[in-house]
Amino acid sequence: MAQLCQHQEKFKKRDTRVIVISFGTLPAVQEWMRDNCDHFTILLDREREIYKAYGLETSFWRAYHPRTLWLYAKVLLSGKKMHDSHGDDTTQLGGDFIVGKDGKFKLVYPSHNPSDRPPVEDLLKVLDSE
Amino acid sequence: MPIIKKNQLAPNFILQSTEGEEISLQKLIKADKNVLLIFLRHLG
Repeated sequence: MAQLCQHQEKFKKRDTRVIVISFGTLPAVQEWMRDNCDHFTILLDREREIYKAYGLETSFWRAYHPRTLWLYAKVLLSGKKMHDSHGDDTTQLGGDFIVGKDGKFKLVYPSHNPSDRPPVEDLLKVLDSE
Repeated sequence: MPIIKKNQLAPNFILQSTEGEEISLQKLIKADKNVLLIFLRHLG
């Protein structure tokens, strides 16, 4: 997310609106924006209806995969603060989608584990091929 | 769970932003924009 935030101008140049969707509460999302990125429009989907409509799964096994636990351990060892989940479902996975001007998906990238996100360069490539 | 594929029409949605504004995917596309949607996990 930090990477995306740094490259926001590149998306603007490609006529692309970046929309972030969260199922967090308003105060939790506002705190997250202060800590991470406040350039993008953030939409709230508390009931996760749109997560479901976009086929994003919840998976206990994937959320607590050994590799993920290792990432958490690394964060803790590096002395960084782990954020509180605010009582939210930690098994909900995220994903990235690009919708073109014709309303059709140009990229469908549901995360297979919590740290699985497409690199910014790949997102830009998809937009450039339009 | 629906299976979402490339080149399929994106399901429309209307959601409220943190600023209290209602945003619809259809309106964004009508404004001639590509849209990058990033679904977050929990905010931890």
